[in-house]
Amino acid sequence: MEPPFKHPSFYPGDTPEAEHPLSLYLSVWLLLFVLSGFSYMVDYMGVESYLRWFLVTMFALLKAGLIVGVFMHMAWERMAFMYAILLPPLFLLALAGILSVDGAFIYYIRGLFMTATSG
Amino acid sequence: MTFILISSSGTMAMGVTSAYKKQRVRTGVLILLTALGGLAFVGMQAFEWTKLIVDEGIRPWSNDYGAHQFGSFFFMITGFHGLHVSIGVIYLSIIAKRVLNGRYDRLDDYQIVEVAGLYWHFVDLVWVFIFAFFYLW
Repeated sequence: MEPPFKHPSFYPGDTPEAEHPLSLYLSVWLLLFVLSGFSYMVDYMGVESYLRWFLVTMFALLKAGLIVGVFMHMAWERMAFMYAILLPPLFLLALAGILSVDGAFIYYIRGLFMTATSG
Repeated sequence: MTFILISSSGTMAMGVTSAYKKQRVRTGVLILLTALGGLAFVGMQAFEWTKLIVDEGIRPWSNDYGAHQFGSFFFMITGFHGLHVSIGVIYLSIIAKRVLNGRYDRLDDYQIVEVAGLYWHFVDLVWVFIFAFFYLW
């Protein structure tokens, strides 16, 4: 008797990767090519400033998601594992973000109070 | 360079899938292709570094085009990534040889290939961000 079909997430930690069709990897590959092409287009078309940074970061994050999720099989892992891997870098990024806001503030007050001595 | 590294990640992913199906030759060939892609990537990086250092005068301690720190960050980060790729090429070649020799068939365990795949996809993952933040930013 064949067991009834279940989504791979029903088998946490015991994922039947062998059942992934090759077409899944080929289509992700194609998608990564397309996203890289979009990144190049941002440069080629001369998009500047915030829109440029936003688009470049967005395409990079989408590609990272595809690589980690599909190529590295994260999407079929149990939820606790995903949290264990993804949350620490997220916290570090949040810390870096907070520090960069703080850094911009320090830079701003230096401009206010230290221009006379440095000039 | 980006497309080469992505393609090598693609062949690696397919290699891992065929490893789960225990297709010996197919897995070995796909891993070899992956290693070749990595080799091509490192070769192109050597060209790029030569051009930056010799023609454009960017050094780890100085940069004629902007902040000096750019030179040190760029060479340190792409250098470590290049080292990661180079070691990966050696690693994958060894794994490919062992796959083709039938070592994992005898053990009836292709787990090693999945581990090698994780290593290689991480190389690709790091490049995604280096490419975005150094070349396009």
